[in-house]
Parts: sequence; C-alpha cells; structure tokens
Amino acid sequence: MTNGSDLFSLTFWGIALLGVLLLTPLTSGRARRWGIAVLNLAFLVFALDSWRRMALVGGGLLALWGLLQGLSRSKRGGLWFAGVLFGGLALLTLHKLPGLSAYAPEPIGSGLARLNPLLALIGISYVFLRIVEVARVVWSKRHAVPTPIVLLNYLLPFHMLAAGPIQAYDDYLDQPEVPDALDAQGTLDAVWRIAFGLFKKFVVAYAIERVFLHGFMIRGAYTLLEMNLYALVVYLDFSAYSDIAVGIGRLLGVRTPENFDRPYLARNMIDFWERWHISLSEWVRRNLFIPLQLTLVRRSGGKHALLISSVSLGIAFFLCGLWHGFSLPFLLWGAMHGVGVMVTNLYRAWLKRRLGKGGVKLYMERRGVRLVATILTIEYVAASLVLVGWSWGVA
Amino acid sequence: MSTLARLQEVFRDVFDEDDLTITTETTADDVDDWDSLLHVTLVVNVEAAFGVKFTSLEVAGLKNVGQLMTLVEEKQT
Repeated sequence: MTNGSDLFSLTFWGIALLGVLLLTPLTSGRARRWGIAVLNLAFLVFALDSWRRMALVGGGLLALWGLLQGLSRSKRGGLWFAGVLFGGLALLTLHKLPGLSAYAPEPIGSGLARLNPLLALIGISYVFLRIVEVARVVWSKRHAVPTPIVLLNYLLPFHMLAAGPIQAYDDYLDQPEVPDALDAQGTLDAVWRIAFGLFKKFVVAYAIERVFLHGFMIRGAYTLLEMNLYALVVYLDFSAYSDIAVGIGRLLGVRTPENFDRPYLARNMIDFWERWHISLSEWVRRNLFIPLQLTLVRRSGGKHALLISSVSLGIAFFLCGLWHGFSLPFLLWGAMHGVGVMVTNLYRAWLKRRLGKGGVKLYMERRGVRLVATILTIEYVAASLVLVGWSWGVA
Repeated sequence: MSTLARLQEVFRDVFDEDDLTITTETTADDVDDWDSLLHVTLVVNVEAAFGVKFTSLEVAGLKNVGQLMTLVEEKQT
C-alpha cells in the first residue's frame, strides 16, 4: 500500500531535526513559509539526487503555477482545469500502469517511463490529489492562486510525501501562520507518536510479515489466518507512516491531518471509510462523491435519492480503487469497496423502512449485532486486500 | 421568519423529526441521520427553500449550521 520506505533515510530524519531547529525560533508567517520551503526543497535535493530531476520538479511546479494563473483569470476556466487534470492524469498513468511503473519487475525503460523513479520519489499519487484539490478551489474562486512557495509547501511537504496524508487545501490555509510554541508535554507526545509509528512498522508489522505471511501460497485454513494477518500488517504499516507524519508535523508546527481511527472496529463499509485513510476518503467525498451526487440529485429533481447516493458512492470508490493502481487487482479491490459501501447504504435504508428510526437505533445498540457486523466488515476488508496482496506481495 | 427558523423547517422536513431544534453550533454529529449521504439531500432542499445555489466545494466545506446560514445569507444579498 505504501511506497516510501526508502524515504525514511538518514536524510529524512536529518531534515526533520533541522526543521525543528530552524522553525522553532521563527515568529513571522513569512519567515516560516520560507523556512518550510527550504526544508521541502532540501529534502527533494537529497532524495532526487540529481539537478536534472530537481529542474524537472521545479519546472513542473512553475508550469502548474502558470496553469493556475490562467485558470483564475480566463473566462474559459474549464479548459484550463482540463489542462491541469489531464496533465496530472498523464503523470499518474505513467506511474501506475503495469509495465511502466517503477515497481514493475522489469519497467519499460524507454522515453517518458524514465520519469518513473522521479514520480515515485515525490509520491505522485498523493501530489496528483493535491493538484486536483488546489485547481478546484482556484477555479471556483474559493481561494486565490497560491504563491509558488505556498504551492511547493502544499504539494510537496517532505513529511507527507511517502504516504500522505492528503491535506485539504482549506485546512492547509486555515492553520495559524505561527503556531503556539510546543510545551514539554506536547513535544513528548509528538516524539512518542513517531516512536510508536516506527515500532509498529519496523518491529510489529515486520515480525508478523516475516513469520506468518507467505504470499498466500499455503492452502487450507491457513489462508484465512494469513488473510487476517495480512490485513493487520497493511494497517500497521500504513498507519505507522501517518503516525510518523503527524508526529513530525506537530514538532514542526505544520498541521498534519489524522488518517486512521481504529478502522477494524468499523461496523460497516461506510463506517470503515470514515476510519481508514480518512484523508483519502475525505478527498473522495469533496472531489468525487459530493459533486457527482449534487449533479445527479439536481437533475432528478430530488427523486431517487437512495439510488443516486448508492450509485455515486459506488462510482467514487471504484475510481478510488483505480487511483491505487491501474491493474486488475486494484480494479477488483475498488469494485469490492464500491459494492461494499453501496450495499451498506441500501441495507441501512431498508432497515430504517422496516424498523423505523427508533427501531434502527435499538437494533444498532445490540452488542451481538455490533459484534457480527464488525467481524463481517473486517473479513470483507481482509478479503479485498487478498486481491491486492496475491498479485503484488506484501507492500 | 429568521434564516435559522426557516432552516429549521427544512431540517425537520429532511430528517423527518418534528421536534428537531437547531442552533448555529449544530453539527452533523448532533443530528441523527445527518451523514454525508443525506447532506446533499439537505443542501438541495435548502437551495429550493431559499432560491439559492451552492457549489460542490461550498457543500463539502460546510461544518455546522452557522456556516450554512451565513452562506445562504451571502447568496441572497
């Protein structure tokens, strides 16, 4: 699921430490913006390890900034937005298509595919979602075009490159320019959060993976055990990245959204996506689900609300699956999650019709129902992950 | 009738609760059934009641009734 273990190098920690030393004494918003930009640039210089690649990233940023300027000024904003979207999609496709991907066993080494290591290093999947976000808010005139420095800091925050989270642009702008100084307890909590993330990823997840996971090659009852342990490892690994990002964000005074809220306690697939990779599901809600549902509800004159919400959910999560990877396993994974949230939506509506509002509340409060619902949800999610793990090995 | 009182009528209609009371501080957590699925239905009903239209980003960014009320009043002026 995550691709940035190589980013947790000495350079990464060095820059995080440098960031704490550099940013703590700064007391103006402008100085902090520049300070954060210096950190993000410094990380890119070390991670990309090539001035040519740096020039490509810099050129890409400036090209995007130019497109955003056009988007904000032109009467044909839709065309400019399409330009941003298709440019971003082209890079995403280059990164995700099997055979072209940097993660493919033998990537095709010709032409544009040579860009792939660069795209992988900057975490293009996450950068793409941030680009769409910023283009939409500029197009809708909700916010002005960011300065190149703000654009750099929003799109390429070094501590969120490896595996997100994906911050909403509203949320990014909403944070105080100069945060309150961190007290001793706050500092300890942040360091603890980082240590906890490292422990989860490099000790617990690693140990389970080494001892128990065998690429689903052992048949019989063990497959069920491995399926559940694989789901656990994916969670431990992925949420560890978020712990580390949140901890570093706190130390730097850079708001970093929470990404997980005990997802395996979810009682259905909608609940699951409110707890798992929260910043992605919030992105999907803002940029796919609500626009789609709003358009369809308006066109239908308010009729077929249940059908529309179910179809919108299904399409949004299907696309979410595609974002993870342009391959059959991820397509099926997305389809399973799309079907899961659609069925949950329809089942909830059916329950409400059958039991009434009060009856549903009582039904939901029953401990047995809660237990069965949670187990079914975990197993459904675990089964969906097998589709991905089977073909690609443990992330 | 104030904007808040008119909004309350829409809320009562959408969430099918005759005694539902809202304030500017009310959030989705305070109202049974106000989830992301019914959010759009609510907004479309507010649009119809007040003769305004929201963008999808405005709809997605709403955090409480106060923000919805402000947005409605801004659109009407």
